[in-house]
Amino acid sequence: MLNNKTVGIIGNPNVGKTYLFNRMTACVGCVGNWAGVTATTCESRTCGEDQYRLLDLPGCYHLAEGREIQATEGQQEVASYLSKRDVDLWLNVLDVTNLQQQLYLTIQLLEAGKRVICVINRIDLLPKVQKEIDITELGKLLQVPIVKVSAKLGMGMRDLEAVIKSELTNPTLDGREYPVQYHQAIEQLLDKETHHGLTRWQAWQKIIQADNQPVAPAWHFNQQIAELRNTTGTLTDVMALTRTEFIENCCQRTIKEKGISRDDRDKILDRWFLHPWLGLPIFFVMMFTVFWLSMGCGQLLQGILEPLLKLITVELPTFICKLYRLPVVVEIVLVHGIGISLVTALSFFPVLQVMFFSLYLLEESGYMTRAAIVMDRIMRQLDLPGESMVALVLGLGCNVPGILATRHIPKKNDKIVTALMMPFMSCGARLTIFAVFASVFFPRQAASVLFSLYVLGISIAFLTGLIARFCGLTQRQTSDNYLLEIPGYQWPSWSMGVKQAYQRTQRFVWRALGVIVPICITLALCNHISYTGELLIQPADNSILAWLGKSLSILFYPIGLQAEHWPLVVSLLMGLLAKEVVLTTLNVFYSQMNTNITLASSANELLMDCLTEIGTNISQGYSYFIPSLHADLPAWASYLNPEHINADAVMSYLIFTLLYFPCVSTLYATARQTSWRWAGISVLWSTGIAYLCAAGYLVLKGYVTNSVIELLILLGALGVSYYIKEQIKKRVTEKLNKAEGVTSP
Amino acid sequence: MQSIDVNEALGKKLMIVSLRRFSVAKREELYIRGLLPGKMLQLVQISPMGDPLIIRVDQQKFAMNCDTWAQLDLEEIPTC
Ligand SMILES: Nc1nc2c(ncn2[C@@H]2O[C@H](COP(=O)(O)OP(=O)(O)O)[C@@H](O)[C@H]2O)c(=O)[nH]1
Ligand SMILES: [Mg+2]
Repeated sequence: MLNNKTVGIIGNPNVGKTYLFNRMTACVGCVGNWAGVTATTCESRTCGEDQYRLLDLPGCYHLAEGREIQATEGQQEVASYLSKRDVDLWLNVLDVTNLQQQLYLTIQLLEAGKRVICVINRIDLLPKVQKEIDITELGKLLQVPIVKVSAKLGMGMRDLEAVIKSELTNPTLDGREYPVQYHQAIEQLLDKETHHGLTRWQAWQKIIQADNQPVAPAWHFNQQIAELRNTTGTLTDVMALTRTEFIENCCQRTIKEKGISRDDRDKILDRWFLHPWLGLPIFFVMMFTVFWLSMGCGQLLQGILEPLLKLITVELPTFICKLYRLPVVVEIVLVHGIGISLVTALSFFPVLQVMFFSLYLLEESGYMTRAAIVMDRIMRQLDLPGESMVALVLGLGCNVPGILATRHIPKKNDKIVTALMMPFMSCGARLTIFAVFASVFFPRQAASVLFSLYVLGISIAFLTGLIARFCGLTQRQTSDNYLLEIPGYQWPSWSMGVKQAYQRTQRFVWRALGVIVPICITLALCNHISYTGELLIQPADNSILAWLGKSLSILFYPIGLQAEHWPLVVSLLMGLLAKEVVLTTLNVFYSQMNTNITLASSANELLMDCLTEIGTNISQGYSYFIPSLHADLPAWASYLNPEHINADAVMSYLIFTLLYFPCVSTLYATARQTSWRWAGISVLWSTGIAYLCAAGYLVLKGYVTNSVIELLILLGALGVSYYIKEQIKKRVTEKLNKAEGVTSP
Repeated sequence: MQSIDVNEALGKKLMIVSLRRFSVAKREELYIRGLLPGKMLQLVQISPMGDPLIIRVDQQKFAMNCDTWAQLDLEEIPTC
């Protein structure tokens, strides 16, 4: 009966809309889009026998009246839903701790002639804040049904269901009056407009628009209105002040304060977290802890998961293929394509899971806001918000969660710039590559090599931010109102955190697979087909990939790689997949031995091997929590000696590895958070910079100084990056012009 | 009317006199957040790098940029 009805959830940010949404759709879960840029609204059906559509809209404080363009993305989305007809009922979520500020939106909804149910959330906090709310009185004043709930604890949900049902089945809208009475003269104005068939909301829009025009409308000369304008300012002020006055009045009549709420705990915590000197160190300690815990726990879990995954997706299929003598192509696609890509994508699972959980803890406890405040000043140098620092720091662990953490950044452009900066934050996988090479080639200065690589990465990231600001991509006007609400501290709910982290990770991994699998299959085929077209049982130096590596090594000549270093080139190509693969590839080519596929005689043996591997991983679990620069040297490292390759060339190879194209998963995350176009720009930008830096290093070292080709290539790379910059600039100015053209009153 | 220096204002209770130096749109936003002329405002804390200021209006805490602060017309209230 209610099947074709739609109910929208609306309210200020951080009042618990999403909690309510999750509670009401518990048996279905959020099937809509996750919080991204393009679609921030979640949609799902409720549970129970009468199912209706439920929308979870982004939060907003108010809707700008009389303006074409709303200020924030959230407002735009809400405004577009409000102007559409297909939402039958609005649930306006309010939060007991700060009703005053939130009723403004309620009034706007009512004036827009919407059917509204006010849902007062967080009633479990009432005793703590020492308040009591008389909802019957408030309901009378506002002329809307009001329900008290606690979305977190699930109180009052039955009542809410009942009220929603009765509102949806028998509309009671007719004969309702608007709650706020404005000044007599304004009421007359409004009446005149509404006589022409406009709603009160539309009438206000029209009046405000006319009020802001340089040409004064006729009613400016009405004596009463002129007087009002003289004392208060514009009609927007009059409107807003009348409403806030009404709200204040409502609150005074309905909210009883039983005492002064005590927030000693918040005060003490804030004193430390925002301490003049300790604030910054505490921020870094917090970030480091999150980072360290998630990498440690993540790797520990990975140590358990990966052997199992390998058994199921790689070793067993190989075994079966061999057993039944299936064609080699089948084995290549099944094992090296699908199997390896599953292992690659799913091995992210534990790290992401733990990282998301820690992020959830930071967010829920209320520390995230403080972190953003502490970092605000530093990031302002780049015109970025403090939240992007949090994302960047997390990116040092693994770029993927770092980029996914950019969803906390409110402005779209800031998100894009942070995502562009991210690939330069060296991740854990790159650290292992550096560690191996550094301990072979620079055994004495391994630590300082690692350190300088990290510093280089971070500096390039900030350079990217500066360039983006220079291009006008990020902007923060001095008049930008930075008024961030600071929520109180609270204990996070653990089960919710686990659930949320699981859902987010799972969605990401499954979708990322769609990108990773095709790439993996292509690479696997290239690796197993020789350039004469024969199938190879195992990768050898006549495969297409090796041939590609050899031919491409010309391109890498400026960064010091010669034709005989083709395995390094191939490893860079394979590194597109995941940086973890770089070492594996080198292993395959340098040791010329097949690593993954040791032919087991029986399935039993495979299982035993897997279990022993898990066992050793668990018993060595503690080592994941001890940061160390020491790397176990693989057997093939001896082949990589200074006679084979020059130390300078190795350094430039490492610089290239640090900076070039992040990895498929990061690329996919970037595309999700921004768009494929920006992901493409990110690839070009990072690879271009990598090339420039690596080549530049060699030039500085005087390795290949007077080579003409060298210079030409360098100039070409410079040209390309200049072209990209110009393109960005052009697009941004276009966009800004468009935006300015409409917003100017 | 002048804005009050941040260091002097720290910890004191101040009254918002007017918001006339903001643009109309910003003013509306501030009204909604509870920063109305006549309301009390307290500068609770200055964040580590000195910029966002932590203020309190009614029971709600906000972080506010110094630029925004400088545009507020405030008046000191002698504490009794
Ligand atoms: N104490 C309490 N906290 C709640 C309740 N509902 C939501 N919250 C908290 O409010 C915060 C914001 O919730 P969320 O649903 O993300 O808000 P949204 O921005 O409106 O979607 C979370 O930290 C929740 O823990 C409730 O009923 N009681
Ligand atoms: Mg939400």
